[in-house]
Amino acid sequence: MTDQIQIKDIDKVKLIGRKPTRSYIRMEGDTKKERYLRTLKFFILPFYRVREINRIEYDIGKTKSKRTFFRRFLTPLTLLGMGCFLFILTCAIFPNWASRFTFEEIAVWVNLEGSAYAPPSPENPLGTGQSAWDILARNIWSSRFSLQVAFLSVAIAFVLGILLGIISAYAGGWIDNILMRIVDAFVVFPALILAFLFIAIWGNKLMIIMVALGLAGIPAYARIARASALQEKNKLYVDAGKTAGASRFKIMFKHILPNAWTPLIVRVTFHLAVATLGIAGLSFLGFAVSDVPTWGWDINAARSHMYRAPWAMVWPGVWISIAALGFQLLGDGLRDALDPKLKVL
Amino acid sequence: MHKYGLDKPFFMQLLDFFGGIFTGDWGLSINEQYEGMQVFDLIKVYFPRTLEIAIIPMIVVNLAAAKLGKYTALRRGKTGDHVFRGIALVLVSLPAFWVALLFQYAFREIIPVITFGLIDIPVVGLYSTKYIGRDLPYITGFRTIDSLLTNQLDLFLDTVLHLILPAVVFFIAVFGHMLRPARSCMLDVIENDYIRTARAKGTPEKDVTNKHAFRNALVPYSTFIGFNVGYFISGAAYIELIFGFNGIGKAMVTALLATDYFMIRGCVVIFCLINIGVNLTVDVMYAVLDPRISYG
Repeated sequence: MTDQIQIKDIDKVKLIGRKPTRSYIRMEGDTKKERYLRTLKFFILPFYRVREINRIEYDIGKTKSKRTFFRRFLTPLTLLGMGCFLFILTCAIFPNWASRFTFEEIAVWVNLEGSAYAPPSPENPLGTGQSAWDILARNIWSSRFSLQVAFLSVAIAFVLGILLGIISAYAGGWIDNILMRIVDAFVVFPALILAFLFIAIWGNKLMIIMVALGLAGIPAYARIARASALQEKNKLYVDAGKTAGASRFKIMFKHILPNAWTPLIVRVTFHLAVATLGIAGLSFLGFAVSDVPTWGWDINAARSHMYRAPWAMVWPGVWISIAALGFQLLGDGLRDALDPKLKVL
Repeated sequence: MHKYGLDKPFFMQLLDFFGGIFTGDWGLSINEQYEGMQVFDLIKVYFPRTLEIAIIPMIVVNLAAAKLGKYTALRRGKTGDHVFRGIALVLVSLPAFWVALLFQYAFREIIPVITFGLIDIPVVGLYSTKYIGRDLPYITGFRTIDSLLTNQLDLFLDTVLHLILPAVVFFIAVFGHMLRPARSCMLDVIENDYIRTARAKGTPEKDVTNKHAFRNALVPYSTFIGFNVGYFISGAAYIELIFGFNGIGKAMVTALLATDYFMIRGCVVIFCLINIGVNLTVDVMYAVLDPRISYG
């Protein structure tokens, strides 16, 4: 008998012990040698698993304790995403510690003594950019401001979207109709067009871009929150809450919301990736203040010197990609771990 | 004031606007560069250029994503699936403008060198500098079609060469966004009972996937085709700016930076028209794909 267990043999797989881990699983009819070999392979080969056993384990795990969440969460790809996320987060929180330069030394208005667009050297490991700033330090500082804008715009969308979604699901009737039509109105605008309109009306400010991207994200949250709140609304605990005299507000946000969390949390990570890319794109187009370092603005500045100094254009893009990839991978991992039936959006 | 109708009451201005939308009077551009030109005339020049880059990749990307979504969903958990999922994941997280810049750099500096000048695709502009004086009358607005109609084959080939890189970048920018939903739509369908029934009654595997599964997967997938409008607009803005392509996206960004309100309004109107058109097509597609859905 080989490692490839046939589908028809699934019934023969026996699970011993209440909480099945891989080493407890054995097949009916396999010899001791095969079992040891499997166990050995499990420990030596990275991420080695027998697929069918894995599936059964997975089905059981779905109904079991919270520990299985971490077990399903800790796949190699999610770990990679976690690494990317922690890297960007470290850059964003401790830029002074991560780079040798202070904020004043990488700002646009400062003209350092070194030469602009100099190739990589021991002093500047990734080369220098416009007005002779160090690209590595500039990227590290940029991640702080890019992540700030991304997090805040996601927060705006998250809070407003959940409010709209849950209120409209719980209230129903004409309130539901009106709120959902408002949300539909936002669906019509792609994020970029909404940002353009806001910039055209209220001027070219980081705050405006943030609010525009936030508003453009509302419909997704509102719809997800409404869908899962509608499912929860008819459950018994809501009736119990009503009987016990809980206020509407309490039922909506203390009883229904915690049970409708899962898809919303997953959506947050995907939205963070989208928001990071959106802000990078908008600042690339020139809609950002130049005294706040952002990756997109740096790429735009380096564009005119692209053939002379490609490094100045490449590295900010690498940073953007790491941030977006980290959020995407985290989102995938969270979705698989929390609710495998959830759709990709 | 009188020229732009600003001396009229607010409601009269609104009426003027709605009247103008249908009669082609979309206001005058107040940008210095186009001082006093009709916005509609500007859009008539710019819009076909954008369509020229975007229309082929936009069609190909939807078809390719649907096809590959089918392929990957049927091979769930195998090598092909992992490869394409990885590609889609990476493509989703790469910023489109950065990819465009990398392509530009590669096709100007690296690829001509390593292929000894065999592949030498122009990386910027609408046409080569030697065609600057060439007279190209405005017939349809599409430079490729116009040059063919006026029997200028050399200009046609030159224009097509200039279209290659923007089109490829357009494809790359949208592909990941379409492949992921395509795969998950197909996965949802093939887990259904009627697929198992179809297999059990002996339907050939080809018919099971193409007729039973794929047609049903196309119904939710066509929702995502509606999202293409957003990718189209953002892609147009970035790609035209980078490849020096004077299309509607670049015109809109320039108008925004110069606060040319009438031009911005014209661009928003044209994008809204596209949005309405695409969503209408999607609604019609629902009815075609799923006979249970009928309107009226």
